[in-house]
Amino acid sequence: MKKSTASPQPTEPQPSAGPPPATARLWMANLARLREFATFLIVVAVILFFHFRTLPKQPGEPTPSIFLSPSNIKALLVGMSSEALLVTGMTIVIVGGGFDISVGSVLALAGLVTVQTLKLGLPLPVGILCGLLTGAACGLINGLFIARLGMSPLIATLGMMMAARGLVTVHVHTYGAASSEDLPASFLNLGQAKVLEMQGFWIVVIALAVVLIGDILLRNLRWLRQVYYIGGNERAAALSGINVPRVRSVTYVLCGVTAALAGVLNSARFGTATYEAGMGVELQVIAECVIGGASLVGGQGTILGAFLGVVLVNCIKTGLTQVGIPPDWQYVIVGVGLIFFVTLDILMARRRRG
Amino acid sequence: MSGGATQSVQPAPDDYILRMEGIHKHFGGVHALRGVDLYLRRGEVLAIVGENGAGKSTLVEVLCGNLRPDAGRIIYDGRPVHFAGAMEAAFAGISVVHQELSLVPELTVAENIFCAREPTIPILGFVDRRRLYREAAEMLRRFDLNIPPSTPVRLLPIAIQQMIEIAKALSLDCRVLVLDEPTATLTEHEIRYLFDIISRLKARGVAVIYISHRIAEVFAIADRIMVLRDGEHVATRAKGEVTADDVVRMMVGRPLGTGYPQRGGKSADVVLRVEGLTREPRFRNVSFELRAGEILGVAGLVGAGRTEIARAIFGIDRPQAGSIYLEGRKVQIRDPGHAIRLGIGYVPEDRKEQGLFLGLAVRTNIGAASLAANSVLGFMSSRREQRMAEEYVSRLRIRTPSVLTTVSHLSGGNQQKVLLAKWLAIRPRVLIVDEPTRGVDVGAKAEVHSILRELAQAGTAVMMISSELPEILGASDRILVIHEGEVSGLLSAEEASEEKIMFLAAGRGAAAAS
Repeated sequence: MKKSTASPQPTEPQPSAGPPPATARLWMANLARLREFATFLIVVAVILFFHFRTLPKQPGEPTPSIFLSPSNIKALLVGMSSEALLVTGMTIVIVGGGFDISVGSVLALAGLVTVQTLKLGLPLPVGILCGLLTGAACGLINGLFIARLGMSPLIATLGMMMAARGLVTVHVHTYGAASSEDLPASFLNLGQAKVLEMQGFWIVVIALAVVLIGDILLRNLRWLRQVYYIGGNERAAALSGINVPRVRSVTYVLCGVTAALAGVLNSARFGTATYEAGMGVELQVIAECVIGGASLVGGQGTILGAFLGVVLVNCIKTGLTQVGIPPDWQYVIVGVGLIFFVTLDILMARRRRG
Repeated sequence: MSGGATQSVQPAPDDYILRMEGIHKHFGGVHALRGVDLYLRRGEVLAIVGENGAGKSTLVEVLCGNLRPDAGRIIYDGRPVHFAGAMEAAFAGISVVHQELSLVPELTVAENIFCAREPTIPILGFVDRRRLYREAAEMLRRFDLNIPPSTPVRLLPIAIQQMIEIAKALSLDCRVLVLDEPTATLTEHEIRYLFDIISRLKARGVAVIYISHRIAEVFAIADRIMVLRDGEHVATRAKGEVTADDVVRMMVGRPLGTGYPQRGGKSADVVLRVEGLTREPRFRNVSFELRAGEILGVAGLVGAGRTEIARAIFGIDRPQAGSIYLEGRKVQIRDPGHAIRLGIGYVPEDRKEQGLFLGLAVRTNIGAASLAANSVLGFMSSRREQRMAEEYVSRLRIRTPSVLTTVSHLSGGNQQKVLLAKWLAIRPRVLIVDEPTRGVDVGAKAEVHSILRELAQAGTAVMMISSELPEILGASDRILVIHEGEVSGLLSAEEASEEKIMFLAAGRGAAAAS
């Protein structure tokens, strides 16, 4: 079975590194997992770093470090949830060879739509559904222009980003932001309920569930496997019988829906829909996907890796604040970190090619 | 086996324009070059032959400095040298013309020839266009090329582009010209022209290193032939000292037999029938039958429209007129996915651009058209994928460290086998292969042909488009010849000959051949 290196003639000299044993070969060659593992190790290293740097001054005190204190961990989890949802959809798009910079605006728009729907007195499921459909619609529009018309993803999602944000701004300036009194308690409960001492418990649960399910589906679902082929070589994918425009459109729809979900939960958490919700988050989300192993040319990347990217970036940002570094410097460090990771990727690929 | 070149006479050292001695190169665990020696005399044509993976390209990359050797030295014109890269080597007089030409398609002929060395107006540093075009025209004249130097390169046929690359090399006063698979995309006429140019270069004292898979050509043009196998220098012989069979045997380490497997038996059921297929301006009124168990060779000059016909059958392009019948039933093939479901496969001629997913694993490539078969209830089964991949890797003898290896790491011949495996995996009733052995070495080529023959014997109808006449003659049961978009003839294997096919391909009719 492992005769893949077998040659018909026995006189042929073997390469100096003989074929490694079967299990080791499978493990070694599974580069995606290796990449995630590397990211995971760096996350652990960063956490440990901030843990030790924020330990209380007096030794012997029973309290843990500020960084790993329960309140901080909870804050981190809730704070990461939006991005965790966003990277789930974004990874799918990036693996297919595209990207979507409209996610922040879609987040805001969907949140607004949900809030307005609920204000009208419609039941909670309807409100949430309207928000999600908004995201799906935005994604579909993106998909049509990019996959059917052939427009560059940058231009198409840039236009959507501006248009969607504009819609939100117009509405908020005309009618003002909604306030919590107008919203049903069930909705606010979703975002603000305190379970296990964590406010926003359900947001975290939903986000983690989406990440987990998303990762499993992207790895294993036959229909989503086509995304990897499209990202790897679009022409070859078409010639292998894959309906490229349709699959691509769907990746943008999925991205829109996850962004919408983030927007809905965001509105539930704050009890309002502001016009600056999610502003500027799109580039950080893309960076987190790439840190997690995705490649912008497509064909590579996992949701789990992207999630680790989210954890890493959020830990760094929070940790830096807690050791006293001003917030502005956070952007510098995240930017440098992104370049660092991608440089590592390039060097590793070069080493592999010899 | 390694060590010095075995030659009949050892000339004095300064007769050599180039000497590479004891070159070693490792890539990770792979010992790609093991103490290779190369001796090149002034004004000679040295052919380097060897299977894919033998180390020919690696040796050239070491020579021009794109790769650093782990051991060994290079002595050029009596002095040890070490180039930092191809550009430095070119300025020193060693130019390499790769199979993938390195011209900029959007720029003009003149701008390409004098790339990075354009004549400039003193002080201002602007490009002196008049001098640029004048000097370029001078170079083109020397090659008997009647094209205005202001022509954008992308408008020119490949053969001419190749000439321009050679002109560029010569404008750098090259003393050693390396041609890597120069005839892969040329017609017979263009190959003769190239050989004429090479003879003229020889007369001027330029030494030529000619790397090729095509043994017949090598014997036509080379003075000495150097054989590499698995990174080792097997032997270098003068042309008169060896036969083609000897060379092939040295290359693969085993005798190859007649080269093409036995042909199939007589006709069986018609699987595919094409009637009056038309898609202007590329082809019109094309009709033929394809039978189970046969290999139908499709011959013709480059550009005759054969690939376009294949694309229409596979559903990539919609024909304007005509019908396609699959096992007697008329079908309208909407798109490649539909064609695949009907049991039609298409192996495109450009495997890197259109067939393979270079960044993905062998296993993933092999399963690319069989996603449904390898999944259970909508979820991919890695066990089925693995089993499919292992089955085809062993059946097609694909040399790869593992089915999880990235395909870009495999040699050209093995990549082609992976591509074939993908299509064999759909168990096609009809398989169209377009230039199945382009860029594939002799050993793998024989294996590809035996794979195709096995496939035919198992009942598949194979349509093989090829521009290599020996391949058409050796592998086909019947031969369809296309000339400028129309069927110009249909020959059985027995009645066919190179001359007849050439005449039909040129539109002169088989009767014109003797």
